[in-house]
Amino acid sequence: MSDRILAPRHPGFAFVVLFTLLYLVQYGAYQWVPDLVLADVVYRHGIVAGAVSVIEWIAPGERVVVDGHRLASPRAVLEIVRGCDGSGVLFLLVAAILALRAGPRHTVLGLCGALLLVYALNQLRVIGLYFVAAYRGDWFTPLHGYLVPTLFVVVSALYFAWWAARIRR
Amino acid sequence: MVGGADPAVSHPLQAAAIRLAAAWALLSVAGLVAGAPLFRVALPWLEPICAALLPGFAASLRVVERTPDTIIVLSLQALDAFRLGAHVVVQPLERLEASTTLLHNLVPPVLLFTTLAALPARGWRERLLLFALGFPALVVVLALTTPIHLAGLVETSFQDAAGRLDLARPTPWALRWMLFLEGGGRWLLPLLAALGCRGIAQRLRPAARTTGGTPLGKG
Repeated sequence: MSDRILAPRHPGFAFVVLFTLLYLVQYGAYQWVPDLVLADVVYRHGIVAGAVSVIEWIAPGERVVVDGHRLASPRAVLEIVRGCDGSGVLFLLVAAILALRAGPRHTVLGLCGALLLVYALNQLRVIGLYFVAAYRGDWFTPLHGYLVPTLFVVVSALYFAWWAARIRR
Repeated sequence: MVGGADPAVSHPLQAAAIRLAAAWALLSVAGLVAGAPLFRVALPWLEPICAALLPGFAASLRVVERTPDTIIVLSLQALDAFRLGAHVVVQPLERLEASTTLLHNLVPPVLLFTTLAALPARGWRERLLLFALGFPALVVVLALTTPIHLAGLVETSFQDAAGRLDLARPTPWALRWMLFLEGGGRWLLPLLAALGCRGIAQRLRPAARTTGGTPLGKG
């Protein structure tokens, strides 16, 4: 696809179309990954284990353990399922970065940064939500379902804008 | 890049970041404080969509304020027997309910207007136009999210019933769309809507149209 083919006078339109298609491709591919693979491999080792290690380090008294794709302690159990892995935001960022069609170096750096950012933010989110579930359960829904998701998208948008601005210099 | 609309801040990225953060904070607080009365305004056009998604049921929507979570409740009454195969799973006039938390459904509106605030605009008139376009966009975004989410929850219960009866039932599109929304679609839609609003605003004010680049601004 090129701007000439899609919209020679409207490169913004080309960006939006490409962005949407790239998001949908990623989402579609994600649906093909079996739940068991996500739960037993990706979530257990990639998300839960790391989060438990951090919680044990900052609050050893929590006695939180890895229970498959769950963080479990006497105070709370947090289950990691599809949608709790940061994939939605990652797909948005990857789609936006690729749709901008920067040079290969900038694109690779942007994608690597996106992956690190989303992973770090998601781990922070999981760890934070564990403590919320354990100590302030009444805050869980506002944070988990409202404030944190929107903040996640906002921070990712800021990263994209920063990365895009660096290309233009 | 095109300079931002805020004269006090020279760097467009800084200006966009400030608008983004401020809009997110203000809209998030607005949702927490006044989300229920604001959302009630949308119920009259969301209710018919729910009814259309679930033929054979009379549908009504209401916002129920309770502790700890205010919820949106879809109440259904079967107009006729609802069958799965040869089995009647819902009797005529039987009532069903599905609910979702209000805050969950405020995510798309918050993202829509936060994005509109962050997008570059040439002057306050275009900024005002962007926000004005946000309201019809909000109608579309809400129509594509809340009713389908609720219908998807109802369909989930029907799928579960079919499973218990060992019946093969194709996954309804409302359920697929609900899963898409939960997987990130409810973030994608308001972003696309905001970009669409910017495109329309630029067409309505051709003197302010950028000559290249991306929705971020001039290339």
